[in-house]
Amino acid sequence: MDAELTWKVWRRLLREPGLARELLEPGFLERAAGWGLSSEEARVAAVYAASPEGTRWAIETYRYRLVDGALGALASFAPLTFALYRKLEPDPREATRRYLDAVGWVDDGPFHYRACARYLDHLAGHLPERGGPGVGDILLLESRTVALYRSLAEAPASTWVAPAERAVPAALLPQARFAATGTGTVVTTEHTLTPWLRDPAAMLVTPLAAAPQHLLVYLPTSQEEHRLAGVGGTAKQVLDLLEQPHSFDALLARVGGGSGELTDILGSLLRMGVLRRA
Amino acid sequence: MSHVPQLGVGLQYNPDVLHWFPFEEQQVDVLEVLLDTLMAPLDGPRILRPGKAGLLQRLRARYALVAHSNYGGEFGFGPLEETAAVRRHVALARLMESPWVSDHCFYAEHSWMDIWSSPLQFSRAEVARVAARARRLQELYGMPLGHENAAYYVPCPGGEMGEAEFLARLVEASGTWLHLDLHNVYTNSINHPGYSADAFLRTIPLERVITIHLAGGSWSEGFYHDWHDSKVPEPVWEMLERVLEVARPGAVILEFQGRGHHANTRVLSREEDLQLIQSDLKRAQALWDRRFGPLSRRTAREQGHGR
Repeated sequence: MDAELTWKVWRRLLREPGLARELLEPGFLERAAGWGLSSEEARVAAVYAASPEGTRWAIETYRYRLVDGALGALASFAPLTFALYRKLEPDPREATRRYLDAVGWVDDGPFHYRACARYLDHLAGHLPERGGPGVGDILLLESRTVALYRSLAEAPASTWVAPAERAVPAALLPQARFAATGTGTVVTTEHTLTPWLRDPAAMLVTPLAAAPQHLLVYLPTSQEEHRLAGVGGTAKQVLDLLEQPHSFDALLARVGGGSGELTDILGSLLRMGVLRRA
Repeated sequence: MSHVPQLGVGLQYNPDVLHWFPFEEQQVDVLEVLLDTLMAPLDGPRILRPGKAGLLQRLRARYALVAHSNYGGEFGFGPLEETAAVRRHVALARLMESPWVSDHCFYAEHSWMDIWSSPLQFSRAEVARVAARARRLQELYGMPLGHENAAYYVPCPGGEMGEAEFLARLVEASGTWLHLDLHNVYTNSINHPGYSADAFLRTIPLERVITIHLAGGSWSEGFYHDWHDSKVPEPVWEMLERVLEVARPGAVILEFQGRGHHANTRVLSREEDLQLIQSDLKRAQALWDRRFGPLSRRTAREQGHGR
């Protein structure tokens, strides 16, 4: 029996509850073609069927671990959403089992951000409705944070601005051109999340102001954890514009306000490493 | 590749039980660190998870550290260079300055949770394929690589030989080593008719064993499970005594963990299990000392030199 073919059949048995159930019913071989199994694959499946209890335990423990893994990805990389989930969902393990059933028991392995993103997408479909104001914002913030990490997975070392290049004297800024590094992203929420971000225990307890907030999520270096900074509307506008390089003067013409304010904003964003001099 | 240094007896540093087990109060020679608990996601820019650099520094100040890879995914069918083993574990094992590294004989495909349910096919073709990958991976690690034998509920179809013969042929073909999990052998001998622990130990090349795992398990619904949730059973101690007569491993490591595989696992606690674990540790140390002499263990050597 070809080992790779055997592995592919086994993976189907692990991930397709219907097929795994059918496997252990009498006469499975006659119905195997209906499951898209070739005769060789059906022979492999029949070997597993001949050890029903061992096969059942192998599949059951896989699914138990995957439930743990899905919840673990959420807990590690979307901790605020995880905390909300535990408050809003009476049985997170059972809910996760239903979710994994819906997505075909896919195992993302070491791609934890992908696993987290997938689960966040799923939760975005119903958790905000159950949780009320602010819940959708939390999911948005953490989804965009996870997306930022994923976008930087293969980023070259040159993406991160060296510390020496971040502290630019203010006097030099008006002569410079700037560009975004891609190491930060602004998330605009519908509610002001500050009370919940400062104290996650306040989530669902402290009401939030229904006022938009711009939160800059950024990675200071490739090996550090992300940070959050509240930024004003002008800073957001500057970052949006610097998807393409702009000179100081061109920025000033677009965002308005005074050159002093723009200098402060650019200095701040340079120190965070989300901009570089182009 | 040279043989491994003799470190002694230690514990697997398992984050599952960190909330109650006082690892850093234990008098052990070595801690086995799970590389998967150090590594940052493969789809992100970091190599190491936040806080882990500091953890390693703190642990290394007190203990010898050895690297253990659960989820390297190295024996699947995709390119070896794309696996977590190559993209993360190699760098982390080197960062730890581990004297050796051990991995598992399972299939994976950029996946984690299926591995424990997916033993390799014990066939001649797989000996050749797996040996080539093992040899290359050991080169990349730059240190001895030992393969842990599996506990499995159902063997992979298409096997042409027993597990022990497969492992013996594997390490001969690849030049790699063995990480002998005695509780896995014991578990398989209970669950699989015809699987003999005695025959297993007579078949594998014991001189190629560089680490030994000890653990306990549980019965549930007609199967015995390698759940690391109880004391080491007597037959496993007997196997250890027998193996140590021939093998000269770098370490004997005791494993225990939380509820990792099934809801029926017994959950360990400080109140019920701290003494049990320490008692198993002492017994392992006593067996080691009887075989190799007390000064063969790292802590005893260092105390003897007044450190």
